[in-house]
Amino acid sequence: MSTSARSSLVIVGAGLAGVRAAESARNAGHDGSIVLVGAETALPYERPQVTKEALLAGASPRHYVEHDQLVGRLGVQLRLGTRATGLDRRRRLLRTADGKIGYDALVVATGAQPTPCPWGNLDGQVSTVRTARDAVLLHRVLTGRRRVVVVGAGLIGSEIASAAQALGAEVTLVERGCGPLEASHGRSLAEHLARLHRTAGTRLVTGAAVTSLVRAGASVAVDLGSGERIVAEHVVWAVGVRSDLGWLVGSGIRVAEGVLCTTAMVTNDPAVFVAGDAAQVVATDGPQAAPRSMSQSMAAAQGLVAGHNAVTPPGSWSRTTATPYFWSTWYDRRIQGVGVPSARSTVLQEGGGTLHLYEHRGRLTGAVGIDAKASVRRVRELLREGSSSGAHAAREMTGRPA
Amino acid sequence: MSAFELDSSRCEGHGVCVDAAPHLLALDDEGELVLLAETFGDADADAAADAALVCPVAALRVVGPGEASS
Repeated sequence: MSTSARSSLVIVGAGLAGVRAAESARNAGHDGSIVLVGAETALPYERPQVTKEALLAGASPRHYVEHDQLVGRLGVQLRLGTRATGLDRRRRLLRTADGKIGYDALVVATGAQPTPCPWGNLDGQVSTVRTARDAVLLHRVLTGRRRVVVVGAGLIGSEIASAAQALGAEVTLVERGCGPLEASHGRSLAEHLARLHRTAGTRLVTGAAVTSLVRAGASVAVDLGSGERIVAEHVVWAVGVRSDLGWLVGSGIRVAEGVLCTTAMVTNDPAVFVAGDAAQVVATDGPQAAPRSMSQSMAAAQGLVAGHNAVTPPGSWSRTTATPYFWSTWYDRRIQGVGVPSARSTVLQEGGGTLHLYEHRGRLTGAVGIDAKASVRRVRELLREGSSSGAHAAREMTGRPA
Repeated sequence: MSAFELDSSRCEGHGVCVDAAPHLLALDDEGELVLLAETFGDADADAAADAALVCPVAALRVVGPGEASS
């Protein structure tokens, strides 16, 4: 099963996808070396906590695995605080800021980074949030700040707005659409999520684009297309993420927004695999792939496949079949998304919660629940069984149409 | 025989693991994870290992025979 005792698996990126790739390679019988290269110095930690628990508490997120588990039980050589700088596929060498590392198989799991603010960070008055360190720093900044502007009401921006509010700030959330997740999940859900912000006391400005960000004394002036100017002590820029793949330029690995791969998580080089936010699955080898889904649960599922396939022959490769899933928490409300959204949705009430069910051509494709854990669980079951119509799913739910 | 080790302080009832091994794991009506069998044999080892690895909050682990829980 394993390639050879001396074969070397190198994993670039020490987040969840990278850790899962290492565990999965060992489960598949890989007895060669595993080197885990991470740009951050911290042990792998729970990134979803960065804009949730860690930001609220000003503490580092929990680790996924402790040092002895990684090094002792899994036999992983850790190269933390080491940034990948290039790839020489012909000689199978990973270049890093600290020297070259040879590999027989490579897994790219370098994730994604926040899109930078086009007006810069204005000497620290504008920030983005992605790492444990970002969360601790932003917690300090938000505590005691009177006025905060968060730009972008996606999951991350919404979580930051919720945390800032809990820390006592007066929060304005600026969003291009009519509410959170409009582009991906449609107007009905976006309007519902917008109400969550407004009910909690966050000022949500929708249909708004930032036209300039300038310092105004100790404050920042945020100008909107409408002509409105919002003055705040701090601005958080949360307008999406992008994968920084500059280190792969010239390597011959095909990239678009992410590293292109099949559902076996293999790139155009059969020795190079990819998992997590850095991956962009293109369906050239089987059933239609789901749209690029950047989530923690996809990172785990893809890490599992990439790690397995990196150390086994192509005949025994596995493929990703995971159902997309995300969760988010704002103002103590739990938002869960399972499956994929589509244009047609039905809204159901469940106890104190709400379920938005999505269907395409009469078939259930996914759902988003707000405080609707039991219904989300049932949708997951129906998607797994793979035979349910949206109408059938709606009848199944205990709720009544809204 | 192997067994699951569930860290209930971490588990948030996302249910991702259930998709990987629906015959071994389930969510109850309160959204709490339930282990359907105390232990499982070799036939279920791959599904169980996958279920543990897809957990997005690292709440589930597979322990082999005789392995002490920590």
